[in-house]
Amino acid sequence: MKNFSNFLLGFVDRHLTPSDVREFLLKEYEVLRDSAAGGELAALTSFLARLGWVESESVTEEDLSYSESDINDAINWMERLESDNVIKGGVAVVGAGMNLDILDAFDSDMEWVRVQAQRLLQHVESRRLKSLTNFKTEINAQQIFAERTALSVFFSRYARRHGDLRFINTAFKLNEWLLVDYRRIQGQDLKIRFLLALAEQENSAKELQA
Amino acid sequence: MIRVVVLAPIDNSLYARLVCFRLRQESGVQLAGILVRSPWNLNRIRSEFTRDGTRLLRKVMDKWVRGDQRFSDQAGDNLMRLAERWELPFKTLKQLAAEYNIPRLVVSDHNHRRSEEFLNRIAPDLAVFTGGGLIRPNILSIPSLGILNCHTGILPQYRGMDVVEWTAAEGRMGDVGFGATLHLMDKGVDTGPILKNVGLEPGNWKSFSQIRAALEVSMVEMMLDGVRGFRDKTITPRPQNPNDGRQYYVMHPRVRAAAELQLLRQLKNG
Repeated sequence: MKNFSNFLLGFVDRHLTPSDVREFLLKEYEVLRDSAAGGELAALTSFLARLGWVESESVTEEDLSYSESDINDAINWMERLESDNVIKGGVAVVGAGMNLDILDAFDSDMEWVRVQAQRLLQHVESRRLKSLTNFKTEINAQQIFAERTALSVFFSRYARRHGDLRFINTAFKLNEWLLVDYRRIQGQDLKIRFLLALAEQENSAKELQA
Repeated sequence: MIRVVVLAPIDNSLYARLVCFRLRQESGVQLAGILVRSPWNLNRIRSEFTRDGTRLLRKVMDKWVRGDQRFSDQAGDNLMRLAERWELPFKTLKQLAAEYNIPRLVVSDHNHRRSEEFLNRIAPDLAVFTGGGLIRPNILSIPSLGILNCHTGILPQYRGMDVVEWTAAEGRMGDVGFGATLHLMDKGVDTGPILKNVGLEPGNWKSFSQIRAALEVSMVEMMLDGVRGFRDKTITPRPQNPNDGRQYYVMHPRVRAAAELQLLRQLKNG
């Protein structure tokens, strides 16, 4: 009985292993490399180099830092928020993932960012596949995909900056759900952004030994 | 005499059966009712599947299909061995309730209106929660002394899911350690006042399931101690500070693998 149940569970209990992620990333990178161009592809290349998966100049922590104008924009975004929280009653504010990442990179001791990160973590863990589908401003499926990708990047980086494994744990899950949408999503920029999110995940996993 | 009701996750729950069996033998304690959650609730299955994914299938296999047999291949102490030592004669709560003439109700959800009516009719001093999901304020407010829960981690540090594994993943086996916490339930997740923490003696733990099995045995004793403490008025709830702990969620297999490595490392280093 035990062997039979383990066989059944092994069949359905699927998740992405590190080698699955690596294989997927390199395969998609090869496809996009020939047709895409621009800063995000370069960023992906250097990220893959950092992971030791391609030969190229690798990205440094300094390359990942934000400019002063990015920081000012994020502070303005925070000050203009109508609510105290980026998510309330399952409804999220557009730009939360990206702006929280900028603010956390700027000052990793900000209590407000810490509270918002916890709220988003709880939201994603409790709503799972249905998380981040309702926004205060109406946005389309492509934009929702971009928002969820930005949140995944924020979680991976937050995990790394704060040594908090709970965030990489949720990033693993979020990226697995996003992978289902990736097949349907149009536009190379969005695809590259997701690949970058996966690379961020692997980078953090490597540092945190997860 | 203290009137106690037991809330059980399923009719064959060994944990619930052991607690009920022993409570029945305690002087000054009246096991006044047993509330059992029915496995057949589509909404709940859907929501648990959303939360736990395919882990839910493992839970179903273990609890419903394999039943007590799931303990048979475990080394060390576990609930089945405790049941053997105590010579527990009942395979289900239904049998136990019938034998001792204890009111028993099966509900689709512990928070259901029928549970509320059942509990109001019994008017327990204390409820003992042995599993079955989150408890809502309509039920929390009925037992005058509260609802006891035993959590498989050290509170306030480790709240929520998979906390045995999280303790290892975060390398806190030395300072926080594995253990269980008896507490009163409130509307949060493992945030209610603490009654007692019991740490597992550092041991030759080879797997998380072995640790959990050992904790489950302690949890039965802790529950009984909690009821005795309320009966004898020797136990004092200690409120938790929300900032003293973190909430943990279902662990992804990759983090679990890292946690297993940490456990093995600990084992190797003694």
